[in-house]
Amino acid sequence: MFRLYLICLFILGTSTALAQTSPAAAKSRVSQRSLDAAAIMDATRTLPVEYQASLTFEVLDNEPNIVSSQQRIAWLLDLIQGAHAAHYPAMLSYGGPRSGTQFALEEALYLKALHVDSVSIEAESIDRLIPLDRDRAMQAFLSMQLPQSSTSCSDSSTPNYTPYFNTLQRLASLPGSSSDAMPRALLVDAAGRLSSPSAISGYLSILKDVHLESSEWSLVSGRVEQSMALLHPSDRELSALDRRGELSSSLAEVLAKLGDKRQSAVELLQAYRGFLARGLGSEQCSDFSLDRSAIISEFDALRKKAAVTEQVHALEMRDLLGSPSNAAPARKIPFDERLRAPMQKLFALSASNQQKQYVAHDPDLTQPDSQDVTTILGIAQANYEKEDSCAECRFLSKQETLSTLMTLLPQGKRQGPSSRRK
Amino acid sequence: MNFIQFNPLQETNPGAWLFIFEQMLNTARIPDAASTKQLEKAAAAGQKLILTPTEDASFIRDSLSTSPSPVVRSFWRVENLVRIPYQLN
Repeated sequence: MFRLYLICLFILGTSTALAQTSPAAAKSRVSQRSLDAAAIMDATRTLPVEYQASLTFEVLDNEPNIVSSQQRIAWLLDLIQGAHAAHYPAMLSYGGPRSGTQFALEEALYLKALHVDSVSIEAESIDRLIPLDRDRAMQAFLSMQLPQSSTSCSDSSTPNYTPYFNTLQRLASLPGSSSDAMPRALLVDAAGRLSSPSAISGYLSILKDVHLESSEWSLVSGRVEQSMALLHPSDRELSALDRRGELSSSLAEVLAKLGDKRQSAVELLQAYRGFLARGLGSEQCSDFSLDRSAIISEFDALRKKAAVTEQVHALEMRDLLGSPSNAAPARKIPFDERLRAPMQKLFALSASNQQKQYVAHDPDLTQPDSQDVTTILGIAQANYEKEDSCAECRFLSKQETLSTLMTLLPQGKRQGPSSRRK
Repeated sequence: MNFIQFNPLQETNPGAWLFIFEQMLNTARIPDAASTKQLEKAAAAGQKLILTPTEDASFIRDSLSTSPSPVVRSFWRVENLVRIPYQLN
Protein backbone atom coordinates (compact mmCIF):
# COMPACT_ATOMS: atom_id res chain seq x y z
CA MET A 1 0.00 0.00 0.00
CA PHE A 2 2.82 2.32 0.97
CA ARG A 3 4.62 1.45 -2.30
CA LEU A 4 1.51 2.37 -4.23
CA TYR A 5 1.35 5.67 -2.36
CA LEU A 6 5.02 6.36 -3.28
CA ILE A 7 4.36 5.52 -6.90
CA CYS A 8 1.40 7.91 -6.94
CA LEU A 9 3.53 10.64 -5.39
CA PHE A 10 6.24 10.03 -7.95
CA ILE A 11 3.76 10.23 -10.84
CA LEU A 12 2.18 13.35 -9.38
CA GLY A 13 5.62 14.94 -8.91
CA THR A 14 6.66 14.11 -12.47
CA SER A 15 3.46 15.46 -13.99
CA THR A 16 3.73 18.64 -11.88
CA ALA A 17 7.28 19.11 -13.14
CA LEU A 18 6.10 18.57 -16.69
CA ALA A 19 3.26 21.00 -16.15
CA GLN A 20 5.74 23.59 -14.91
CA THR A 21 7.87 23.34 -18.04
CA SER A 22 4.95 22.89 -20.41
CA PRO A 23 4.06 26.55 -21.19
CA ALA A 24 7.48 27.22 -22.74
CA ALA A 25 7.53 23.84 -24.45
CA ALA A 26 3.99 24.33 -25.69
CA LYS A 27 4.86 27.80 -27.00
CA SER A 28 7.86 26.41 -28.82
CA ARG A 29 5.74 23.61 -30.32
CA VAL A 30 3.13 26.14 -31.46
CA SER A 31 5.70 28.37 -33.13
CA GLN A 32 7.34 25.35 -34.78
CA ARG A 33 3.94 24.23 -36.12
CA SER A 34 3.27 27.74 -37.31
CA LEU A 35 6.57 27.70 -39.22
CA ASP A 36 5.73 24.27 -40.62
CA ALA A 37 2.33 25.51 -41.78
CA ALA A 38 3.87 28.55 -43.48
CA ALA A 39 6.50 26.36 -45.19
CA ILE A 40 3.89 23.85 -46.41
CA MET A 41 1.64 26.55 -47.77
CA ASP A 42 4.57 28.33 -49.42
CA ALA A 43 5.37 25.13 -51.26
CA THR A 44 1.80 24.93 -52.64
CA ARG A 45 2.14 28.23 -54.50
CA THR A 46 3.46 26.49 -57.59
CA LEU A 47 0.45 24.12 -57.70
CA PRO A 48 -2.77 24.83 -59.62
CA VAL A 49 -5.08 27.17 -57.70
CA GLU A 50 -7.65 24.39 -57.07
CA TYR A 51 -5.10 22.54 -54.90
CA GLN A 52 -3.94 25.73 -53.20
CA ALA A 53 -7.55 26.55 -52.28
CA SER A 54 -8.37 23.09 -51.02
CA LEU A 55 -5.22 22.91 -48.86
CA THR A 56 -5.61 26.45 -47.51
CA PHE A 57 -9.25 25.89 -46.58
CA GLU A 58 -8.39 22.60 -44.87
CA VAL A 59 -5.80 24.28 -42.67
CA LEU A 60 -7.93 27.36 -41.91
CA ASP A 61 -11.12 25.42 -41.23
CA ASN A 62 -9.52 22.82 -38.98
CA GLU A 63 -6.86 24.80 -37.15
CA PRO A 64 -7.19 28.52 -37.87
CA ASN A 65 -4.93 29.64 -35.04
CA ILE A 66 -1.96 27.71 -36.34
CA VAL A 67 -0.81 30.95 -37.99
CA SER A 68 -1.35 34.64 -37.27
CA SER A 69 -4.38 36.47 -38.59
CA GLN A 70 -2.06 38.50 -40.86
CA GLN A 71 -0.79 35.27 -42.39
CA ARG A 72 -4.35 33.99 -42.86
CA ILE A 73 -5.34 37.25 -44.56
CA ALA A 74 -2.32 37.01 -46.87
CA TRP A 75 -3.20 33.42 -47.88
CA LEU A 76 -6.82 34.37 -48.60
CA LEU A 77 -5.86 37.45 -50.63
CA ASP A 78 -3.49 35.27 -52.69
CA LEU A 79 -6.34 32.89 -53.45
CA ILE A 80 -8.69 35.73 -54.38
CA GLN A 81 -6.08 37.05 -56.77
CA GLY A 82 -5.31 33.67 -58.34
CA ALA A 83 -8.85 32.23 -58.49
CA HIS A 84 -9.35 33.22 -62.14
CA ALA A 85 -6.88 30.51 -63.21
CA ALA A 86 -9.14 27.60 -62.16
CA HIS A 87 -10.18 25.11 -64.86
CA TYR A 88 -13.92 25.73 -64.30
CA PRO A 89 -15.04 29.40 -64.21
CA ALA A 90 -18.08 28.53 -62.07
CA MET A 91 -19.96 25.62 -60.57
CA LEU A 92 -22.15 23.83 -63.09
CA SER A 93 -25.84 23.06 -63.14
CA TYR A 94 -26.88 20.35 -65.51
CA GLY A 95 -29.63 21.36 -67.93
CA GLY A 96 -29.73 18.42 -70.32
CA PRO A 97 -32.19 15.56 -70.37
CA ARG A 98 -32.39 13.02 -67.57
CA SER A 99 -31.31 9.50 -68.31
CA GLY A 100 -32.22 6.42 -66.35
CA THR A 101 -28.97 5.02 -65.04
CA GLN A 102 -26.13 7.26 -66.15
CA PHE A 103 -25.16 10.63 -64.79
CA ALA A 104 -23.84 13.31 -67.11
CA LEU A 105 -20.36 14.47 -66.13
CA GLU A 106 -21.52 17.99 -65.26
CA GLU A 107 -24.43 16.61 -63.28
CA ALA A 108 -22.16 14.39 -61.20
CA LEU A 109 -19.66 17.15 -60.55
CA TYR A 110 -22.40 19.56 -59.51
CA LEU A 111 -24.24 17.07 -57.34
CA LYS A 112 -21.03 16.25 -55.58
CA ALA A 113 -20.39 19.88 -54.77
CA LEU A 114 -17.39 20.79 -56.83
CA HIS A 115 -16.21 23.92 -55.03
CA VAL A 116 -12.90 24.57 -56.74
CA ASP A 117 -14.07 26.71 -59.64
CA SER A 118 -13.03 30.38 -59.95
CA VAL A 119 -16.24 31.85 -58.50
CA SER A 120 -16.34 29.41 -55.55
CA ILE A 121 -12.67 29.90 -54.67
CA GLU A 122 -13.01 33.67 -54.73
CA ALA A 123 -16.35 33.78 -52.87
CA GLU A 124 -15.36 31.21 -50.24
CA SER A 125 -12.05 33.00 -49.63
CA ILE A 126 -14.03 36.22 -49.07
CA ASP A 127 -16.31 34.34 -46.63
CA ARG A 128 -13.24 33.40 -44.56
CA LEU A 129 -11.87 36.94 -44.82
CA ILE A 130 -15.02 38.56 -43.36
CA PRO A 131 -14.22 37.85 -39.67
CA LEU A 132 -10.54 38.75 -40.19
CA ASP A 133 -10.83 42.00 -42.14
CA ARG A 134 -14.33 43.03 -43.03
CA ASP A 135 -13.42 46.08 -45.09
CA ARG A 136 -11.01 44.11 -47.25
CA ALA A 137 -13.64 41.39 -47.70
CA MET A 138 -16.12 44.02 -48.83
CA GLN A 139 -13.59 45.52 -51.27
CA ALA A 140 -12.72 42.09 -52.65
CA PHE A 141 -16.40 41.34 -53.20
CA LEU A 142 -16.96 44.64 -54.99
CA SER A 143 -14.08 43.79 -57.36
CA MET A 144 -15.50 40.35 -58.11
CA GLN A 145 -16.79 39.85 -61.65
CA LEU A 146 -19.06 36.96 -62.53
CA PRO A 147 -17.88 35.30 -65.75
CA GLN A 148 -19.90 36.21 -68.81
CA SER A 149 -21.42 33.21 -70.47
CA SER A 150 -24.22 32.20 -72.75
CA THR A 151 -25.59 28.69 -72.83
CA SER A 152 -27.24 27.11 -75.85
CA CYS A 153 -28.59 23.69 -76.79
CA SER A 154 -25.06 22.65 -77.71
CA ASP A 155 -24.11 22.85 -73.99
CA SER A 156 -25.38 20.45 -71.38
CA SER A 157 -24.86 22.68 -68.36
CA THR A 158 -25.03 26.28 -67.30
CA PRO A 159 -22.97 28.21 -64.71
CA ASN A 160 -24.24 28.28 -61.16
CA TYR A 161 -23.30 31.32 -59.08
CA THR A 162 -24.70 30.19 -55.73
CA PRO A 163 -21.42 30.74 -53.79
CA TYR A 164 -21.25 34.38 -55.00
CA PHE A 165 -24.78 35.10 -53.79
CA ASN A 166 -24.22 33.28 -50.49
CA THR A 167 -21.28 35.62 -49.89
CA LEU A 168 -23.39 38.63 -50.86
CA GLN A 169 -26.00 37.50 -48.33
CA ARG A 170 -23.36 37.18 -45.58
CA LEU A 171 -22.01 40.64 -46.30
CA ALA A 172 -25.49 42.18 -46.56
CA SER A 173 -26.47 40.70 -43.19
CA LEU A 174 -23.57 42.37 -41.37
CA PRO A 175 -24.38 45.33 -39.16
CA GLY A 176 -23.43 48.77 -40.61
CA SER A 177 -19.70 49.38 -40.95
CA SER A 178 -17.41 52.33 -41.32
CA SER A 179 -16.53 51.42 -44.89
CA ASP A 180 -17.94 53.33 -47.83
CA ALA A 181 -20.04 50.41 -49.04
CA MET A 182 -22.70 49.83 -46.40
CA PRO A 183 -23.80 46.18 -46.30
CA ARG A 184 -27.38 46.64 -47.46
CA ALA A 185 -26.34 49.12 -50.15
CA LEU A 186 -24.24 46.26 -51.54
CA LEU A 187 -27.39 44.20 -51.96
CA VAL A 188 -29.28 47.02 -53.66
CA ASP A 189 -26.33 47.69 -55.94
CA ALA A 190 -26.06 44.02 -56.96
CA ALA A 191 -29.69 44.06 -58.16
CA GLY A 192 -28.62 46.33 -61.02
CA ARG A 193 -25.84 43.99 -62.15
CA LEU A 194 -27.67 40.73 -62.78
CA SER A 195 -26.45 39.79 -66.22
CA SER A 196 -27.60 36.17 -66.59
CA PRO A 197 -30.60 33.99 -65.70
CA SER A 198 -28.42 32.13 -63.17
CA ALA A 199 -27.57 35.44 -61.52
CA ILE A 200 -31.28 36.40 -61.36
CA SER A 201 -32.06 33.07 -59.74
CA GLY A 202 -29.16 33.30 -57.27
CA TYR A 203 -30.14 36.84 -56.32
CA LEU A 204 -33.81 36.03 -55.75
CA SER A 205 -32.83 33.04 -53.62
CA ILE A 206 -31.06 35.29 -51.09
CA LEU A 207 -33.49 38.21 -51.34
CA LYS A 208 -36.21 36.20 -49.62
CA ASP A 209 -34.05 35.87 -46.48
CA VAL A 210 -32.77 39.42 -46.00
CA HIS A 211 -34.26 42.33 -44.14
CA LEU A 212 -34.92 45.42 -46.25
CA GLU A 213 -36.89 48.61 -45.61
CA SER A 214 -39.95 49.30 -47.81
CA SER A 215 -38.08 51.88 -49.87
CA GLU A 216 -35.23 49.40 -50.45
CA TRP A 217 -37.70 46.70 -51.56
CA SER A 218 -39.13 49.07 -54.10
CA LEU A 219 -35.65 49.92 -55.42
CA VAL A 220 -34.52 46.29 -55.52
CA SER A 221 -37.61 44.94 -57.27
CA GLY A 222 -37.38 47.76 -59.84
CA ARG A 223 -33.78 46.84 -60.61
CA VAL A 224 -34.56 43.12 -60.86
CA GLU A 225 -37.35 43.98 -63.34
CA GLN A 226 -34.89 46.02 -65.42
CA SER A 227 -32.32 43.22 -65.37
CA MET A 228 -34.94 40.66 -66.42
CA ALA A 229 -36.07 42.92 -69.26
CA LEU A 230 -32.56 42.89 -70.74
CA LEU A 231 -32.06 39.13 -70.58
CA HIS A 232 -32.73 36.47 -73.14
CA PRO A 233 -32.63 33.14 -71.24
CA SER A 234 -31.93 30.02 -73.26
CA ASP A 235 -33.84 26.76 -73.15
CA ARG A 236 -30.85 25.12 -71.41
CA GLU A 237 -30.51 27.83 -68.77
CA LEU A 238 -34.18 27.65 -67.87
CA SER A 239 -33.99 23.87 -67.87
CA ALA A 240 -31.14 23.92 -65.32
CA LEU A 241 -32.91 26.53 -63.16
CA ASP A 242 -36.26 24.80 -63.39
CA ARG A 243 -34.71 21.48 -62.38
CA ARG A 244 -33.34 23.00 -59.21
CA GLY A 245 -36.78 24.56 -58.63
CA GLU A 246 -35.01 27.67 -57.40
CA LEU A 247 -36.27 30.37 -59.68
CA SER A 248 -40.03 29.97 -59.29
CA SER A 249 -39.92 29.12 -55.56
CA SER A 250 -37.65 32.10 -54.79
CA LEU A 251 -39.81 34.37 -56.89
CA ALA A 252 -42.92 33.20 -55.02
CA GLU A 253 -41.30 34.13 -51.70
CA VAL A 254 -40.14 37.52 -52.98
CA LEU A 255 -43.66 38.24 -54.28
CA ALA A 256 -45.05 37.34 -50.85
CA LYS A 257 -42.60 39.77 -49.24
CA LEU A 258 -43.69 42.51 -51.65
CA GLY A 259 -47.28 41.75 -50.64
CA ASP A 260 -46.37 42.07 -46.95
CA LYS A 261 -44.88 45.49 -47.70
CA ARG A 262 -48.08 46.41 -49.59
CA GLN A 263 -46.13 46.80 -52.81
CA SER A 264 -47.36 45.76 -56.23
CA ALA A 265 -46.27 42.42 -57.65
CA VAL A 266 -47.61 43.23 -61.09
CA GLU A 267 -44.45 44.77 -62.60
CA LEU A 268 -42.14 42.01 -61.38
CA LEU A 269 -44.44 39.26 -62.65
CA GLN A 270 -44.87 41.00 -66.01
CA ALA A 271 -41.09 41.25 -66.30
CA TYR A 272 -40.82 37.55 -65.47
CA ARG A 273 -43.46 36.70 -68.06
CA GLY A 274 -41.53 38.59 -70.73
CA PHE A 275 -38.29 36.92 -69.62
CA LEU A 276 -39.79 33.43 -70.03
CA ALA A 277 -41.60 34.12 -73.29
CA ARG A 278 -38.57 35.82 -74.89
CA GLY A 279 -36.24 32.95 -74.06
CA LEU A 280 -38.47 29.96 -74.63
CA GLY A 281 -40.22 31.41 -77.66
CA SER A 282 -37.00 31.60 -79.63
CA GLU A 283 -35.28 28.25 -79.21
CA GLN A 284 -36.26 24.71 -78.26
CA CYS A 285 -33.61 22.05 -77.72
CA SER A 286 -34.18 18.92 -79.76
CA ASP A 287 -33.84 16.66 -76.70
CA PHE A 288 -36.84 18.33 -75.01
CA SER A 289 -34.97 18.71 -71.72
CA LEU A 290 -37.37 21.41 -70.53
CA ASP A 291 -40.95 20.67 -69.55
CA ARG A 292 -42.72 23.73 -70.96
CA SER A 293 -46.13 22.75 -69.57
CA ALA A 294 -44.62 22.74 -66.07
CA ILE A 295 -43.30 26.29 -66.65
CA ILE A 296 -46.82 27.37 -67.68
CA SER A 297 -48.39 25.80 -64.57
CA GLU A 298 -45.78 27.33 -62.25
CA PHE A 299 -46.31 30.76 -63.77
CA ASP A 300 -50.07 30.42 -63.39
CA ALA A 301 -49.66 29.47 -59.74
CA LEU A 302 -47.53 32.60 -59.16
CA ARG A 303 -50.22 34.85 -60.72
CA LYS A 304 -52.94 33.31 -58.60
CA LYS A 305 -50.94 33.47 -55.39
CA ALA A 306 -50.12 37.14 -55.97
CA ALA A 307 -53.79 37.78 -56.92
CA VAL A 308 -52.84 39.50 -60.20
CA THR A 309 -54.58 37.23 -62.71
CA GLU A 310 -56.35 40.19 -64.31
CA GLN A 311 -53.30 42.40 -64.67
CA VAL A 312 -50.78 39.72 -65.78
CA HIS A 313 -51.73 37.44 -68.67
CA ALA A 314 -51.27 33.70 -68.41
CA LEU A 315 -48.56 32.03 -70.46
CA GLU A 316 -49.75 29.72 -73.18
CA MET A 317 -47.95 26.97 -75.03
CA ARG A 318 -47.94 28.99 -78.25
CA ASP A 319 -45.93 31.70 -76.44
CA LEU A 320 -43.21 29.19 -75.62
CA LEU A 321 -42.70 27.26 -78.83
CA GLY A 322 -39.27 28.18 -80.09
CA SER A 323 -37.63 26.93 -83.25
CA PRO A 324 -35.90 23.56 -82.85
CA SER A 325 -32.18 23.59 -82.18
CA ASN A 326 -29.85 20.61 -82.21
CA ALA A 327 -28.86 19.43 -78.77
CA ALA A 328 -25.37 18.10 -78.21
CA PRO A 329 -25.22 14.74 -76.47
CA ALA A 330 -24.19 15.00 -72.82
CA ARG A 331 -20.87 13.51 -71.68
CA LYS A 332 -22.05 10.49 -69.72
CA ILE A 333 -20.24 8.70 -66.94
CA PRO A 334 -20.34 5.09 -68.14
CA PHE A 335 -22.07 2.54 -66.00
CA ASP A 336 -21.92 -1.08 -67.11
CA GLU A 337 -25.17 -2.86 -66.35
CA ARG A 338 -23.22 -6.07 -65.69
CA LEU A 339 -21.97 -4.40 -62.49
CA ARG A 340 -25.45 -3.98 -61.09
CA ALA A 341 -26.12 -7.49 -59.76
CA PRO A 342 -22.73 -8.13 -58.04
CA MET A 343 -22.67 -4.57 -56.67
CA GLN A 344 -26.17 -4.97 -55.24
CA LYS A 345 -25.06 -8.16 -53.50
CA LEU A 346 -22.08 -6.35 -51.98
CA PHE A 347 -24.24 -3.40 -50.93
CA ALA A 348 -26.67 -5.70 -49.14
CA LEU A 349 -23.81 -7.46 -47.39
CA SER A 350 -22.18 -4.15 -46.51
CA ALA A 351 -25.44 -2.81 -45.02
CA SER A 352 -25.65 -5.83 -42.78
CA ASN A 353 -21.96 -5.49 -41.83
CA GLN A 354 -22.47 -1.79 -41.05
CA GLN A 355 -25.31 -2.70 -38.69
CA LYS A 356 -22.92 -5.08 -36.94
CA GLN A 357 -20.01 -2.64 -36.91
CA TYR A 358 -21.70 0.63 -35.94
CA VAL A 359 -24.85 -0.48 -34.11
CA ALA A 360 -24.13 -3.84 -32.48
CA HIS A 361 -20.33 -3.21 -32.27
CA ASP A 362 -19.80 -6.80 -33.34
CA PRO A 363 -16.36 -7.27 -34.98
CA ASP A 364 -17.34 -10.54 -36.70
CA LEU A 365 -18.18 -9.25 -40.19
CA THR A 366 -19.50 -11.45 -42.98
CA GLN A 367 -17.12 -11.99 -45.89
CA PRO A 368 -18.30 -11.45 -49.50
CA ASP A 369 -18.09 -13.92 -52.34
CA SER A 370 -14.65 -13.35 -53.89
CA GLN A 371 -16.06 -14.15 -57.34
CA ASP A 372 -18.30 -11.04 -57.14
CA VAL A 373 -15.29 -8.88 -56.32
CA THR A 374 -13.22 -10.34 -59.16
CA THR A 375 -16.11 -9.80 -61.61
CA ILE A 376 -16.52 -6.15 -60.58
CA LEU A 377 -12.80 -5.39 -60.84
CA GLY A 378 -12.57 -7.05 -64.27
CA ILE A 379 -15.51 -5.06 -65.69
CA ALA A 380 -14.29 -1.76 -64.21
CA GLN A 381 -10.79 -2.26 -65.63
CA ALA A 382 -12.02 -3.27 -69.10
CA ASN A 383 -14.36 -0.27 -69.28
CA TYR A 384 -11.60 2.11 -68.30
CA GLU A 385 -9.48 0.94 -71.20
CA LYS A 386 -12.25 1.64 -73.75
CA GLU A 387 -11.84 5.13 -75.12
CA ASP A 388 -15.45 5.77 -76.12
CA SER A 389 -16.17 8.33 -73.40
CA CYS A 390 -14.38 11.42 -72.07
CA ALA A 391 -11.26 11.04 -69.90
CA GLU A 392 -13.00 12.60 -66.88
CA CYS A 393 -16.03 10.33 -67.36
CA ARG A 394 -13.87 7.17 -67.41
CA PHE A 395 -11.82 8.34 -64.43
CA LEU A 396 -14.92 9.03 -62.35
CA SER A 397 -16.56 5.79 -63.41
CA LYS A 398 -13.64 3.53 -62.54
CA GLN A 399 -12.61 5.30 -59.39
CA GLU A 400 -16.18 5.41 -58.06
CA THR A 401 -16.37 1.65 -58.52
CA LEU A 402 -13.00 1.03 -56.91
CA SER A 403 -13.50 3.37 -53.97
CA THR A 404 -16.96 1.95 -53.38
CA LEU A 405 -15.45 -1.53 -53.35
CA MET A 406 -12.75 -0.39 -50.97
CA THR A 407 -15.31 0.62 -48.36
CA LEU A 408 -17.70 -2.26 -48.98
CA LEU A 409 -15.19 -5.03 -48.43
CA PRO A 410 -14.43 -6.13 -44.90
CA GLN A 411 -10.82 -6.73 -43.95
CA GLY A 412 -9.40 -10.06 -45.07
CA LYS A 413 -11.15 -10.20 -48.42
CA ARG A 414 -9.38 -7.38 -50.21
CA GLN A 415 -7.41 -7.94 -53.36
CA GLY A 416 -3.64 -8.15 -53.16
CA PRO A 417 -1.23 -5.26 -53.70
CA SER A 418 -0.83 -6.01 -57.43
CA SER A 419 -4.50 -5.38 -58.20
CA ARG A 420 -4.47 -2.23 -56.08
CA ARG A 421 -1.90 -0.78 -58.39
CA LYS A 422 -3.94 -1.26 -61.54
CA MET B 1 -3.52 4.62 -55.28
CA ASN B 2 -1.29 4.66 -58.35
CA PHE B 3 -4.36 4.94 -60.56
CA ILE B 4 -5.21 8.21 -58.82
CA GLN B 5 -1.79 9.69 -58.20
CA PHE B 6 -0.49 9.17 -61.73
CA ASN B 7 -3.71 10.05 -63.54
CA PRO B 8 -3.14 12.86 -66.09
CA LEU B 9 -6.33 14.59 -64.90
CA GLN B 10 -4.31 15.76 -61.92
CA GLU B 11 -2.84 18.31 -64.34
CA THR B 12 -5.50 18.67 -67.02
CA ASN B 13 -8.62 18.90 -64.81
CA PRO B 14 -7.72 19.48 -61.16
CA GLY B 15 -11.39 19.82 -60.14
CA ALA B 16 -12.38 16.35 -61.38
CA TRP B 17 -9.20 14.78 -59.98
CA LEU B 18 -9.55 16.48 -56.61
CA PHE B 19 -13.12 15.36 -56.24
CA ILE B 20 -12.04 11.71 -56.33
CA PHE B 21 -8.79 12.22 -54.41
CA GLU B 22 -10.57 13.97 -51.53
CA GLN B 23 -13.07 11.12 -51.26
CA MET B 24 -10.23 8.66 -50.91
CA LEU B 25 -8.39 10.87 -48.43
CA ASN B 26 -11.52 11.15 -46.32
CA THR B 27 -11.91 7.39 -46.06
CA ALA B 28 -8.36 7.21 -44.65
CA ARG B 29 -9.17 9.69 -41.85
CA ILE B 30 -10.12 8.68 -38.33
CA PRO B 31 -13.67 9.55 -37.26
CA ASP B 32 -13.94 11.77 -34.18
CA ALA B 33 -16.71 11.43 -31.58
CA ALA B 34 -19.16 13.50 -33.64
CA SER B 35 -18.62 11.61 -36.89
CA THR B 36 -18.69 8.24 -35.09
CA LYS B 37 -22.07 9.21 -33.69
CA GLN B 38 -23.24 10.22 -37.18
CA LEU B 39 -22.09 6.87 -38.59
CA GLU B 40 -23.87 4.96 -35.81
CA LYS B 41 -27.05 6.99 -36.29
CA ALA B 42 -27.04 6.53 -40.07
CA ALA B 43 -26.37 2.78 -39.80
CA ALA B 44 -29.12 2.41 -37.18
CA ALA B 45 -31.53 4.22 -39.52
CA GLY B 46 -30.71 1.65 -42.21
CA GLN B 47 -28.94 4.10 -44.54
CA LYS B 48 -26.66 2.51 -47.12
CA LEU B 49 -23.27 3.99 -46.31
CA ILE B 50 -20.48 4.16 -48.83
CA LEU B 51 -17.01 5.64 -48.51
CA THR B 52 -16.96 4.91 -44.79
CA PRO B 53 -13.62 4.88 -42.92
CA THR B 54 -11.47 2.18 -44.49
CA GLU B 55 -9.29 -0.40 -42.85
CA ASP B 56 -6.78 0.37 -45.61
CA ALA B 57 -6.13 3.80 -44.06
CA SER B 58 -2.52 3.02 -43.20
CA PHE B 59 -1.87 1.71 -46.73
CA ILE B 60 -3.31 4.93 -48.18
CA ARG B 61 -1.31 7.12 -45.81
CA ASP B 62 1.92 5.24 -46.57
CA SER B 63 1.32 5.67 -50.29
CA LEU B 64 0.73 9.39 -49.83
CA SER B 65 3.95 9.83 -47.88
CA THR B 66 6.09 8.23 -50.60
CA SER B 67 4.28 9.68 -53.59
CA PRO B 68 6.44 11.29 -56.27
CA SER B 69 3.58 13.72 -57.01
CA PRO B 70 4.11 17.16 -55.39
CA VAL B 71 0.31 17.58 -55.25
CA VAL B 72 -0.22 14.33 -53.34
CA ARG B 73 2.72 15.07 -51.03
CA SER B 74 1.28 18.51 -50.22
CA PHE B 75 -1.98 16.91 -49.14
CA TRP B 76 -0.08 14.39 -47.04
CA ARG B 77 1.90 17.16 -45.32
CA VAL B 78 -1.31 19.04 -44.48
CA GLU B 79 -2.91 15.82 -43.18
CA ASN B 80 0.06 15.47 -40.85
CA LEU B 81 -0.03 19.10 -39.80
CA VAL B 82 -3.69 19.44 -38.82
CA ARG B 83 -6.01 16.82 -37.46
CA ILE B 84 -8.89 16.51 -39.92
CA PRO B 85 -11.53 14.02 -38.83
CA TYR B 86 -13.44 11.73 -41.18
CA GLN B 87 -16.61 13.37 -42.46
CA LEU B 88 -19.75 11.47 -43.39
CA ASN B 89 -21.05 13.15 -46.54
